[in-house]
Amino acid sequence: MGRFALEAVDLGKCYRLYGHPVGRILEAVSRGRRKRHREHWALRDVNLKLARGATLGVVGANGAGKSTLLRILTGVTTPSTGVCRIEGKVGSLLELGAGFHSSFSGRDNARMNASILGLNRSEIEARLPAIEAFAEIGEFFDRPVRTYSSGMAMRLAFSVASALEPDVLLVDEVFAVGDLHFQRKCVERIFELKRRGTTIVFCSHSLYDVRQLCDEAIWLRDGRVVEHADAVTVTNDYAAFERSLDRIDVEKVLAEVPRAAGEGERPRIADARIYRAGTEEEVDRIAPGDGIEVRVWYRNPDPARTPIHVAVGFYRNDSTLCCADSTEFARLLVPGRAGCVIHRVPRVALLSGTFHVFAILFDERAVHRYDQLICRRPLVVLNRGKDVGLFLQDHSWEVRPGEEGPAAAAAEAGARARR
Amino acid sequence: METASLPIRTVRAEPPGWGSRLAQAVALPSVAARHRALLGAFVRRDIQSRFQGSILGRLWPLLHPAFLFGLYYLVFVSIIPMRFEAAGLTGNQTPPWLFLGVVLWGAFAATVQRSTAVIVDNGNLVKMAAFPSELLPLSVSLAEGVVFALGFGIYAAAHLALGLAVPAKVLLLPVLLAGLYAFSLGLAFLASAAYVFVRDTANLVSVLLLFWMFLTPIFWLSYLIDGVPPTLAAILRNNPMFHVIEGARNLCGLYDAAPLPPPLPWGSIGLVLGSGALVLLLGYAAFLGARRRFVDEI
Repeated sequence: MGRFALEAVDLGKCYRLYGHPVGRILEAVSRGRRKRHREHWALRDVNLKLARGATLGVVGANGAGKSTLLRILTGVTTPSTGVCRIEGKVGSLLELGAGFHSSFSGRDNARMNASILGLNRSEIEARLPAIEAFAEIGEFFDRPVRTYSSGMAMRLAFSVASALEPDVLLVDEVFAVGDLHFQRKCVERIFELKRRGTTIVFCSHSLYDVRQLCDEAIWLRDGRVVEHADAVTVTNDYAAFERSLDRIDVEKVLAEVPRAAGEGERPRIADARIYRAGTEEEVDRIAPGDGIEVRVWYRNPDPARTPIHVAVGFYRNDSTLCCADSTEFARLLVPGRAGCVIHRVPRVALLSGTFHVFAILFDERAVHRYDQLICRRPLVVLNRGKDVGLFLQDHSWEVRPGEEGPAAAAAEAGARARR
Repeated sequence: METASLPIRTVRAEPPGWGSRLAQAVALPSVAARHRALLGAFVRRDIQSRFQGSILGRLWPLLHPAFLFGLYYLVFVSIIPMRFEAAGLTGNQTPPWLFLGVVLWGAFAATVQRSTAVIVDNGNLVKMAAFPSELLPLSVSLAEGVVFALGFGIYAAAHLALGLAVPAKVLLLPVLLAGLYAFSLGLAFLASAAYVFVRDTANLVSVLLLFWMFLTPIFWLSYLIDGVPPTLAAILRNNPMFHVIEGARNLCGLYDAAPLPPPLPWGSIGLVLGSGALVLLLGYAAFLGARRRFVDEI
């Protein structure tokens, strides 16, 4: 004991959901013999050990248990199973407005928070100017908190939480309501606290921030820790495997392309599969830079009446269309009653993510659709590097020390002309 | 090393047992003392907020009971001279007698009633880490204590203005009031915790308080109890609020003009102190147990 600033053992949280308020009373009266509730485990079997000064990122979809975990660590609510132990003063930024009395002024709220954290009167008064200056809310600092905009409330909350120099800081995603200037200030302040040795637990949907700020990270799904490793690995894996859109949605998106009219037997896609480039090995998990080919088998019963084109594209599972191309753009012919079209990608440029690969059979002008198919297994791209975003562009770097921009050169030329 | 002195907080899934909760409940005064500045701010805010924006502002807490007393005087002395001679009350004594009962009952009922929703209404505070939620019912009870003090000031002024005697036994009144405070606060803890889980509590509390008010001799004389069936009489006589109000009237000398002045109300004082201590201890211990799940329900 004592080596860890924060320790959680088998932490779990079960919410009881009652269909009707009466259920709670009936259950209490029957002393638990009759069960009137459904159980919802928001958190299960979470084990954590954070050394003093460590920073832990927490990523996960909405409802994965991030906020519940932070609430338990903060001590706002109690776990249903397990124990958690925290050493030192705990500062937290959980929900917006939590910890504020709406009719107290910002100043009085700052005093109240500080006194609950155990600071004495002179310590509190000494910190107030810094809190006021950091929040940058002007005269609102002396007005009741209920008159604040959500941005102002967040500014006050953050300045209070960070100025009280906590030993452990727990931050849920609250920066979202701040403007860019203040968001940057917050991140800088968190870095400063990190340098000073504050232990930080940081929940965010910004994988970039998690990666930059945190040493390690956990990925929560359905209340369980899916992965606990260094922040780069966890955020890459999270980006690769978790985004909320399944095939059904992609089918819906594709269905918006107008269908071709006409009777008789229509052209159709028999199959579409992804192979490692130049091999017969089907793949569904690759790294950026790998080569793949998408093979589309088509049948066209009457090629003379219904000439066709084939399109192949990639949808990321948050419904971002990443790229698509067709034989029409490439001015190719797709002849015959049956055949295979191969879409070759020598070097995949996509970064971490889950992608649905689809094929569409178009009419000769590539406007109307005869048929479409989504590859049965989504393509998971898993990046191990630090690059972020959708694509890795071909690029190189050059540094030219001392060179001034064209504007400076032009200004100098102007000045010379005036002389 | 200085880091060794960092406070360690451990949260367990298992709720603390009644034994440790009762032990913790005894420490209520030290919790209040530790957060006295905050408690003071809450009480000030509570009282200010009721009269904020009004022209007479701070005078209202005083004007309110003064008008009430004027009303009693007008109705019971000038319009329907009500004489409770059997109890030794003269016409002049009736308004103070009624008024004292109303002020005492008001302090009790307002504390319980207004505490009921105080946890839920201040959900933002309760969601703060380490916020001592007992401060909320506590601050309501203290604010009502201030309002009571003003009301009692009006009572005292009227008592003197009407030329009534001030007996020495009035020095025992603070003891009785301490019992009333503990009793009110204990029920306030229970009601505020119950309301978090069952929102019917607010309506239930107001109905129960209404019943309780009429079953307490505020507007009627206690000797009327002799005429009711024995079971009901036993309930009426063991009602702590009966002893608060009748005891206070006795200590203020309102019954001293009777042919047979009542003895010192030691029994009432004992019963009020005992029930107050018991209700406060159990109420606060129950509150401490329920508190762990407040945030899940708000």
